[in-house]
Amino acid sequence: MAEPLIQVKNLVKYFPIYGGVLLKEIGRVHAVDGVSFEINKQTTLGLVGESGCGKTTVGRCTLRLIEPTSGEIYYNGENILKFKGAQLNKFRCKAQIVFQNPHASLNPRMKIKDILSEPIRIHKLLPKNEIENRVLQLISEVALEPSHLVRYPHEFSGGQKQRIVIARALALNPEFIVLDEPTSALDVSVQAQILNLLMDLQRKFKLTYLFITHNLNICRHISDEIAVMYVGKIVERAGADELFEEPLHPYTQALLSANPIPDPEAKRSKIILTGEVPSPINPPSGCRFHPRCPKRMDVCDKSEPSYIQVKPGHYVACYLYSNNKS
Amino acid sequence: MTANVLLTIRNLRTHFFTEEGVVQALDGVDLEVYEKEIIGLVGETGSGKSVTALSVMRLIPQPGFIVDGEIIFKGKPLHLLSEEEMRKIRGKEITMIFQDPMNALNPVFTVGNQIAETIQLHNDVTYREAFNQSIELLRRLNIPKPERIVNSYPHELSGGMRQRIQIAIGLACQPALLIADEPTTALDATVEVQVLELIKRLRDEFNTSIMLITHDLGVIAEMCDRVVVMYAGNVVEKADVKTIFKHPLHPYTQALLGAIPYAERKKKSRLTTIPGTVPNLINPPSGCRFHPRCKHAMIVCKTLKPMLLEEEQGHFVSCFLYSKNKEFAEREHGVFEPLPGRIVY
Ligand SMILES: Nc1ncnc2c1ncn2[C@@H]1O[C@H](COP(=O)(O)OP(=O)(O)OP(=O)(O)O)[C@@H](O)[C@H]1O
Ligand SMILES: Nc1ncnc2c1ncn2[C@@H]1O[C@H](COP(=O)(O)OP(=O)(O)O)[C@@H](O)[C@H]1O
Ligand code: SF4
Ligand code: SF4
Ligand SMILES: [Mg+2]
Ligand SMILES: [Mg+2]
Repeated sequence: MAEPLIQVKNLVKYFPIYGGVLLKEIGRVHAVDGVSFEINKQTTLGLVGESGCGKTTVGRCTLRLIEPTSGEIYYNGENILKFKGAQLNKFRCKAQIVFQNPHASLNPRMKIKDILSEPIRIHKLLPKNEIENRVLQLISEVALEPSHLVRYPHEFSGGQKQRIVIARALALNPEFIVLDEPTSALDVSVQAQILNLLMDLQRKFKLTYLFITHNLNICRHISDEIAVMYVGKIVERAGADELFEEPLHPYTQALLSANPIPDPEAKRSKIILTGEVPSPINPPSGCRFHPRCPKRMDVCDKSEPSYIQVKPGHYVACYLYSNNKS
Repeated sequence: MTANVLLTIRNLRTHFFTEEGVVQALDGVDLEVYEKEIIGLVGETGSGKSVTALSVMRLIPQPGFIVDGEIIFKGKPLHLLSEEEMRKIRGKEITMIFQDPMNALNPVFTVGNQIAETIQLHNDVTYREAFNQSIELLRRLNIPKPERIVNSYPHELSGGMRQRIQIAIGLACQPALLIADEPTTALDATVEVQVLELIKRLRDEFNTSIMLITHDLGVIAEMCDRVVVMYAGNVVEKADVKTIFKHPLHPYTQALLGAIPYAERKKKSRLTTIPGTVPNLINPPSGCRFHPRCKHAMIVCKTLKPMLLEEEQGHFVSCFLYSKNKEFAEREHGVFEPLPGRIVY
């Protein structure tokens, strides 16, 4: 039976915007505006969407790196927003994050062995005499050499740095890792190495991933389930294959059709949307996709469609699929 | 294709004379652009795509120089022209657009003003006429509300719209060749597709030849007629788009295609990887520059440099695994034994 490790309910995160001479709050960025999802143990949920739609904010809230405005986040059935002290500390070991830019994630003045042992020392996970062995083991997990341990980050390529970041995330024996565009800064051949490594590690250490990306091909390759975000909302979620074969939401359909296919003989029918992704400061009324939706109806700009399950495991927020059109 | 050749690049070597040493960025690039075609340049970081484009434009940044080779555009040797003569070609017969449109747009002038000025630069028309032509141009490019757009400043527009304006300016004098360097890399997927459609229209409606530089093989497959694959300053393979994807010959092209996750392929399958990283071009590998990462590397690959030779009709490859280069290597007494220590993958 699939068992959820992560359950997010109605997550909301607003960022205040300050302006004027007195720097008063003059508005809010609706970065995440009522998002719900689960991630089953040892599976990968892919979170896709265009720039600024709120993916990173969802990832950071899920780890409580930033405090949500409202909502609930359960880890193994416990609400992490209520965690304090030792319990929060323990959660911080179990849940890790890997960012897009490996160059910025590593302290340039620390040797690799110190970068890898630091989290173990801070969380007092192992006695001093065992740390060295653990570090040697970590570096081999990500297919780097023991001789690399005495070097500094600038001596490594982007792909090698990302391996070091992944090794550091593994240092505390995590169960859950948020991967925020982990390969976007890398070349294709290096990207493939990192994706293979992540899949191997998931199997070996029974990891659960939230994989954030704007690249649909990568998303389908690595994910069991996929959630599509648009301006602070999840508009559709389904199993990876089902989402690609039978996308229901008009935005998902447009996004998939826009995806360049690396096969000159593939059949293509592009849905070309007009306009661009709206700002999350003043999101459109009703369905946020209505100004660009080729299938919009009268009701669409009046009230928001609810996010409902239309088939087992397939959720969508669009009036085309809800009976309740009032 | 029996079309006419518009641009020919032969044995182009562009080097950068830096304090650390000479960066041999281009090591004998050969390619041609036909009329009305979209040709794609693909390759990883540092393979020399942008330097090739900048060499054609004669806009190579300091301390870079063309040290050898020729660039012939409509019969004119661009590499020999004076800066004065080059200026008449740049922006009129050949234009280039960049990833970040803000670099190409002037922030203090309206869009209409900038397009009109470009039109006036190369045509004998009044400002009013040129301004009206710029509205017409935007309309022809399917840009919504052109009357309003012409009166906006670049910062008032979104990234996708700025990119389209950059293209419009590039087109204002109907160049024969448009070079687009990663034009959509910074754009969101649903906006990228709008800009790519616009680029296709240029070719279809204005008969412009387009050199499209990208690292995205998906974009290459969707847009291009022919493809040039570059690695560490060399063209390693060149063919029409179907051949490149269905029947690639060069080990690098094959590995690159295996490395892209792509939606149709089985989920969670392992991707082909290329061990190692792109080489340093101050001390590039001898012989075939790909040999330290090639699973087929032979001793000859380290001692001799393969040439870009036509292996099949219209299909060029630079590798000792194929007959034309093999013949050449045999004449030079190359050794075809596996290279000791070559990596298996
Ligand atoms: N600290 C912050 N203060 C103000 N606004 C913020 C902050 N962090 C994020 N935002 C805004 O919230 C929205 C969502 O941001 P987020 O970084 O989650 O998007 P994303 O989908 O990850 O985008 P990208 O793909 O560009 O990284 C954006 O409009 C962003 O500008
Ligand atoms: N201004 C410069 N100074 C020194 N080396 C340069 C300069 N510009 C490019 N190069 C080198 O030229 C090679 C090719 O670069 P480029 O054409 O920009 O690659 P890409 O294919 O990523 O566009 C790289 O090794 C790069 O480091
Ligand atoms: S709710 Fe209406 S506007 Fe929104 S996606 Fe569905 S049809 Fe389109
Ligand atoms: S020439 Fe040799 S090293 Fe280069 S690609 Fe061919 S087989 Fe590999
Ligand atoms: Mg992000
Ligand atoms: Mg470049």
